[in-house]
Parts: sequence; C-alpha cells; structure tokens
Amino acid sequence: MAPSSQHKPNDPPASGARSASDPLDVEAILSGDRRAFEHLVRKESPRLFRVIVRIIRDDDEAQSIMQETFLQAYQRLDTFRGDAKLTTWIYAIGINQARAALRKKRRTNPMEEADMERLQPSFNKGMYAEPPKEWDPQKMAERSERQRLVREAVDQLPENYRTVVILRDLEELSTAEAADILGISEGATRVRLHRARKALRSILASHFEDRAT
Amino acid sequence: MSLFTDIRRLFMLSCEDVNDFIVEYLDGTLDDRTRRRFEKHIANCPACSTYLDQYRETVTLVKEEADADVPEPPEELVDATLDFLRQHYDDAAKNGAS
Ligand SMILES: [Zn+2]
Repeated sequence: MAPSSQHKPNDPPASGARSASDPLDVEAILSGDRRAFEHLVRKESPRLFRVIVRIIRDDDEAQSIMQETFLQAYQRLDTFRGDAKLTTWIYAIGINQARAALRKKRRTNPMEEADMERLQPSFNKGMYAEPPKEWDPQKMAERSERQRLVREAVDQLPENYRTVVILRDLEELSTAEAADILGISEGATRVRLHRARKALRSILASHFEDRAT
Repeated sequence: MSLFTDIRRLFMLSCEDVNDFIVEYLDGTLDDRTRRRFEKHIANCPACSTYLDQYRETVTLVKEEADADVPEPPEELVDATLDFLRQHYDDAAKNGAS
C-alpha cells in the first residue's frame, strides 16, 4: 500500500482501507470494478460461508463452493437483472451450487415426499385425527441430547425442505428473500416451510411426548 | 339449534384452518379479521393451543441447535477467496466465453 505521505488531504481512502461496514457500491460492481467487487467479497464471505456450510456440512467443500460462487457471479454480472438485491442474487448462486453438491454426495438417505406426508398432522372433519399429546419437560431437559435430536431431525429432511428451514429459521431471511433465492413464489416458500416445521414437530414429538397421558 | 350451528360454523375456523394459518400467523401476515378468529379459536381449543406451542417450540429448538453449532469461517477465508478470484477473473475471457 502507498505510504500515507503520498496521500493528498482530499484523497478518498484507498480501496484496501475500506472497512467491512462500508456500503457496497453496486454500480461500480456492475461495471466490473474489481476493487468494488472485492469489497463485496470481504463483506459477504463470512455469512455466505455459514449458509453454505449449513447446507453441505463440510468446511472445505463450503469454501470451494463459495469461491466458485463469487467467480461465477463476477463473470455473470451482466446477467444480473436488478429485480432482487445483488447480494440475494449471489446467495442464490451459492445456495444452488451447495444444494447440487449435496444431492450428489448425500451420505444418509433423506426422507422422501411420502415420509413428509406421513409426518403431517391429519384431520377428520376439520378436527385433529390425533390431538397432540403434551411434551414431557423431563425428556426435553438434557440440553446436549435435545440438540442431537434436533440436528438429526433437520438432517433427515429432504434437501428442499432443509434449505428453506436454513434460510428462514436459521438465517432469518424474509419470505421474499428466501423465495428469490429458491426461485419459487412466496406462497410456495411458506407452504414448504410450514410442511418442514410440521414434520420436525412430529419427529420431535415422537421423542418428547409424555406417554403417560 | 342446527341453524345456529351452521351460522357459527361460518364464522369459526376449523382446527385444520387454524393449522394452515400458523405460518402466516407467526409471520404477522394474516389480515386482522383472520388473526382475531385464529386467536379466538386457539383460546378455546386445547388441541390447537398445544399444537401451536409445540410448533413454536420446534422453531426455537432448531434455532438453539443452530446457534450452538455456528460454523466458524476459517481464518484465511477472505484472503484465500481473493487469491482464488485474482487467479481466475480472466478465465472466461481465456476460454473465449465472453
Ligand atoms: Zn382447534
């Protein structure tokens, strides 16, 4: 970096000195300005990495998917249409690559649509066919055991359901942002999230129900 | 009596309706009238009230597990990514793709 003595007083700070909290210059990024793009990379890397690693559950693979994502995004900037935020568009690229990679390497057999259906509550004339049983606080008390059950339950979900849970419930994105990333409508996003949460509730209920009642 | 029941039913949500509305209720996107009917049903229906509690608890537990298990980005993540990009920015041009 240039020694500060060469700085004229009115110079803007050098790009390298930008802090992660500085706003993105979307216009400069779209014009292909590498410094502006690299500012976005610095700013978004930790969060994008976290989302991808949650999907793929492998640090090394997540890092390489993230790098490819930024490269693809940079090379395809001219296809960005501006109907979503630039960052949302980049997340969509990364998340879709992570999903494709996951489908290829899936270690355990995820549930199928029929299993998801079986885990939905059923109704008879608008009433619960089996009213929910209370959960036993004692069965929920052991923290590490509880977390293990939850992690296993989330991991069992089919990939498209798991991804919506990661985006909405873990990353706390809005329905609109999640819908943009998944390329489906907001209504379809809500339906998928709801089915995923209902299935998770059923799986947890099988562990937590107070059998005495 | 049966007329009364029919009229009541027009104004009341079934447990199944209430279940369908949970996600929008928690998102705060139900219209006022439906939200009031939803809350009225929950207040009077132990099954729906228990279900809603457990649904909320499920979301809380999923967040709790994820928070306990936040993946730490590797320290060199940003630098490695920038190095990678600087090596590959021009790949597409070399391949004649653009
Ligand atoms: Zn009910």
